[in-house]
Amino acid sequence: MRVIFGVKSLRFTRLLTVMLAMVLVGMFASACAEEEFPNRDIEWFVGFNAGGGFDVASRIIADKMSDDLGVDVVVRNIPGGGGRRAVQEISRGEPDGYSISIVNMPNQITAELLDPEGVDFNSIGWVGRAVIQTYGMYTAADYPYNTPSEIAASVPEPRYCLTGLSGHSFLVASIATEELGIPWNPVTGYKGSEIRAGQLRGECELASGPIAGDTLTAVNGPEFKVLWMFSDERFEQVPDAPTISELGHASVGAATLANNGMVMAPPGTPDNVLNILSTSLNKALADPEVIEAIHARGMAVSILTPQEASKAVEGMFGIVEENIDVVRAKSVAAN
Amino acid sequence: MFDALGLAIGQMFEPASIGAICLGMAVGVVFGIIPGLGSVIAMTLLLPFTFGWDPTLAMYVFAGIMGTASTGGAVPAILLNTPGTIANVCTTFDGYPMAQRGEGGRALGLAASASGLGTLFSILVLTALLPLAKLMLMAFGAPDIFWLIIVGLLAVTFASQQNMAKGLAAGGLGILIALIGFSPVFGELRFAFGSEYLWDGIEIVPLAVGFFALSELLVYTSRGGSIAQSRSTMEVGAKQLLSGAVEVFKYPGILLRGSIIGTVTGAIPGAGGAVANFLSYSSAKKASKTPELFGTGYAGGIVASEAANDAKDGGILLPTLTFGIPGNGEMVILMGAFVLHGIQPGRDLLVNRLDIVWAIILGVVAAQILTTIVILGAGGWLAKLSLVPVRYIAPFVAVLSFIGVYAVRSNIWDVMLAVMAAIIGFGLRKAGFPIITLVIGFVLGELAEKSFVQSLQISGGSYSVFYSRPVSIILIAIIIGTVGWSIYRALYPASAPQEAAE
Repeated sequence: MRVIFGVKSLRFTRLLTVMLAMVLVGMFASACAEEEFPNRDIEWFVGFNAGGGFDVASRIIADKMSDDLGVDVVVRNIPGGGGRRAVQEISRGEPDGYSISIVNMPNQITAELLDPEGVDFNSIGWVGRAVIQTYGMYTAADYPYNTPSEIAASVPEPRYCLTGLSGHSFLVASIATEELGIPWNPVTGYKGSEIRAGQLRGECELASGPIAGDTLTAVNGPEFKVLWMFSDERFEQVPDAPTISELGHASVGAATLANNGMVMAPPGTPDNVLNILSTSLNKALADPEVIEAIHARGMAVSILTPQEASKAVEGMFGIVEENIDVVRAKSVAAN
Repeated sequence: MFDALGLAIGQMFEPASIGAICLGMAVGVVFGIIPGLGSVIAMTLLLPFTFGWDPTLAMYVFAGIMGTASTGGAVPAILLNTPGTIANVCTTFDGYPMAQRGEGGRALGLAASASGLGTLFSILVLTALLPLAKLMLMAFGAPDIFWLIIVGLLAVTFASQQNMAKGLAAGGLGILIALIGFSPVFGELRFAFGSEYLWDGIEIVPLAVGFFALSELLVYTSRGGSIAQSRSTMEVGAKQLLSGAVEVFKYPGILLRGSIIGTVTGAIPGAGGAVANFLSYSSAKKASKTPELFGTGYAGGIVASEAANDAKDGGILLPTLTFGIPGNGEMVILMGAFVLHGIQPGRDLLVNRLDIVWAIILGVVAAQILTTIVILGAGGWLAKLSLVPVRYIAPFVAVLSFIGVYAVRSNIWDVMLAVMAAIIGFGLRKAGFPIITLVIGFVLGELAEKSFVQSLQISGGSYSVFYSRPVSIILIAIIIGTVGWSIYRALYPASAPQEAAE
């Protein structure tokens, strides 16, 4: 009997067979494991610092999804460029479903159209929608005008308090003033509650933003009032405020100008993986505890399947594309 | 406002709050005692680690450090003739001679007691003024804020006690760094050079860690040895400590004057503890019937120095909490802590987050009382900390810096930025440029741009908005007066007061 590497040939053949079998079993197991999504932790990116609305909502949802999927859904904050860093990270990521991100839409579309960075939103894998923030127009309580037509005709012309000439508030302000015929006199640079301090000091009159958190507390107090909500249904937390549709401007209602927390996956993510993630996300969003916790922070849950999410993004793209010249013109006018 | 005080006092006695204050106090005392480190480096190093904490607890830690570092700094000033912080320089004039006479314990007792009383005085003044802060906030519009920032920048430059041209250059460099990234008012990307990292501009945490902690470390490492270079008797008796603590009350005039000078100087951006320290010491000497005793181990000298450098704490908090205008390095880091914890100085803080305001005030007071007890109990033993060789301190501080910087955003470029800031900061220090002016320029640069553009937007483009409001006119007068006085001093240096430095 021949001896190969010190092992008799028969035994060597057996050894080779066993090793081959082990390799095959390993490959099979690995293939099975790959098919069984998920089998390791999922990273959920948030393009903002910890503590904001989208971050808190992400943590609440990720917690429930972890229970459902049997793996940890880990929230990771990668702030930068008003959420663009997270979009970049996902748009270049591996299409395996292990990296997803909550993104603020349609603001990311505006940012991409104004300053292209090569992100193709049509190729993104859309998992669904985590939260929605409805915008409202608010002012100081003693501001004498209440409707778009009164404000448009007011003398002196109203000034618009803004954080800057980018972001979703700027998009809303641009489209709203254009559609409602309100003169464009922006005063920029206000952060958070500074807007309300500016309004009380008489530096600017109008402001639009999500009616949530401390803004919600303020508009329910004696110093401020909500003029209208950019929606076609009354906002539960500010029931006395009319909707913009009620005031005859449905074109900027119907949640057109809401801030959507969409959940995206890298381009090319297989449909079955998107569906698993979407089912888990929507299951979490249907949990009464989650709904209550999100609601308490001035946001709402509005469930979408991957197909519906994709269609919603298409719709947002249309609105932004239609208005991008207005946004550009308003930016130039402000400068 | 005072309802929130009751709640805050209740919260302060919770175990977690006591733990946070003790942590801040312990770090503050140790970093105060080791010369060159000080409160700014201590706060800078701890800042990233508080990420994710309850903001109130984080504020207790920072208040603990703020209230204690300059008290800790008196220990090596008295026992080793090496001031722990720059605000303890005048303490060496009388503290060290007293220690050489074998009365180190008495000097430590005087310093600890004067520090505690100075802090209490300034905090009482701050508490009395806080209800007015909201009125001030409503009275200060964008043009007034712009001029206030210019006053602050000028004050920081003039107070840098180094070459004024270098101070201005450092402040200008800070403003230029603040321009990087998306403009806060126009939304345009500036000086990003195609880098995604620079979209949001330069982050305060890596910049401050690099400029304050790491560059200081490079300076000490390049020198080697231990930070404190001299050694004297460190034996201090308990009897002496207690007699010193009580002896403070024999100098009520000096104590009150020092506390007032400290509080007022603290409220002026850029002036800070060091200026308060010199002003108080020189004015006490000037007003004394026995000025010849100053510098010979005189108890009044220690009281004047230590009451003022700790009384600055109450004053310096006022512009920071009300307008978000930081007056010194500690306040820059406190602003960084506000950003990290989503707190907006000004109206938001004074209306919605009074718990934070009271946490800072109570934290400073509690930490100061604890420090006074610790220094009285273990001052001599603690002084030995400043004899630890740099080669042991440097790696510890460096590793802590890098971990902290990375922890905030999980971005390795933040670590690179801290390293770059350290190298640039080291070069600037060697060339005599004041780092604090640069960092305050960085923080105030964005605010200045924002308030300038806002003012023009509010007025519809009319520049008259800058000189048509009473507050603006007063601030312009202060600016003209400050610049005029500095030109006068430059032209007639002989008539400028030099007593403090003598």
